[in-house]
Amino acid sequence: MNAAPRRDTPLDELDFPLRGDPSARLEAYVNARAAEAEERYRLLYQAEKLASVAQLAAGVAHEMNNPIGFVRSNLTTLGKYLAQVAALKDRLDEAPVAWRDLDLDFVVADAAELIGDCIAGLDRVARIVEDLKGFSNVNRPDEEMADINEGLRAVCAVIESQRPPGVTLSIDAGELPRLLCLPGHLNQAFLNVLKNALQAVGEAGEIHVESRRESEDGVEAIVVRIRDNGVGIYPRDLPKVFDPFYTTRPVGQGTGLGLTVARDIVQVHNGTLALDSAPGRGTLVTIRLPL
Amino acid sequence: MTHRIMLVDDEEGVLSALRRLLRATPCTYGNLNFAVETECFASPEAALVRIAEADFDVIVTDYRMPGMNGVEFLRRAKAIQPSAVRLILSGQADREVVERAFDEVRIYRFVAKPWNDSLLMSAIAEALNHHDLLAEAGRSESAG
Repeated sequence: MNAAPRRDTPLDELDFPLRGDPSARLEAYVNARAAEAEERYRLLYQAEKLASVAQLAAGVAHEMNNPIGFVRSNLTTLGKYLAQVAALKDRLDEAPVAWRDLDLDFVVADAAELIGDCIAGLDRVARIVEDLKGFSNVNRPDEEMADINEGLRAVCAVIESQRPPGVTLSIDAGELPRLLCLPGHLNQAFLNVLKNALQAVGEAGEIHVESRRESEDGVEAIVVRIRDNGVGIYPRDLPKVFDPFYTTRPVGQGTGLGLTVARDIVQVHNGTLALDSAPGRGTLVTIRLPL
Repeated sequence: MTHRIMLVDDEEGVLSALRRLLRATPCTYGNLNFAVETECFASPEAALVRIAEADFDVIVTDYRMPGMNGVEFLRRAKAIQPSAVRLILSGQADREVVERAFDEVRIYRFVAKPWNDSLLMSAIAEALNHHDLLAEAGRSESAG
């Protein structure tokens, strides 16, 4: 953070405009300072918001693991009990009449299916909780000078294991200076974007990752581009993709937190995450991290 | 010989589910089949009182509990019954917690919640086998 102007700093060092109409000069000066304060406040607010949401998410995730654990285990045990009851049919001589009257063949078969459905549902809840825990990791501050290419390679290695044979994943790592950052968090952001790319291309397609040092308007930045030629995003969905829990995937296949988390992480690094997408052509995600 | 397992968790629902699981599922390791009986405790304090009275082969405990966490509980349990093999079953799978559990109280396994029934059962069966091997080694040492 820039040092606040000290009281003994000469006026001309405060970029106070010394020429022109005094009141206009004062106004310009005040406006510039106010914009600066607002920007600082926005970043601080963003970081605070992220930390408190993360804390909440971690708490919720932990609390949910207990009930998920015992409900799931109970359902499995119930399935075993049910099989024991079903075995009764063969043991009792006049059972068939009562058994048929009570429609127990159906009950036993359907109950087994019902339990299977419940367990599948719980596994989904467990996955959401797992994602929320990833979300909460944003909380831990451990800034260091890190090599972004190293992170990208590590994340690509993770994705590699989930890549269907028809999908190619290539990486073009440019020469980069080290960046003072939260490397674990940035890797999470890259991973979230890459997971989206992987889902977008489905069984066949191309994913390309590129890193460069670039300068825009005199600002030096590390730019990471992740491009896929998958299904793309409809213009009507674009404004919503960063909303928490917003997803266009079939129920159970995404929690809608991936891009939200990725963008928040990038913003904490004073960076930007931009999306360029067209349905049927694919998506380009550009992450810009100022040096 | 019946093996004795102590279960400690402040959530009654977890204790009931584990009790059912251990009753309904055979506890096997290789070709060994362990007959088990369980005692459940919703508070670590009550469990410590019991540990001073009766022997247990394996202790399975939660981590986050009111009064005392799982590592603290196991530290005291170990002081009373060092031969009981210790496991933690917890939703708090922070690296720091897991490392402390292995370093400070030498737990045998850390199982994450929500648990997978068959993985938990095999962890318990392995712990029982581990307990028996250590007990056997101890006996032959004192005999020799």
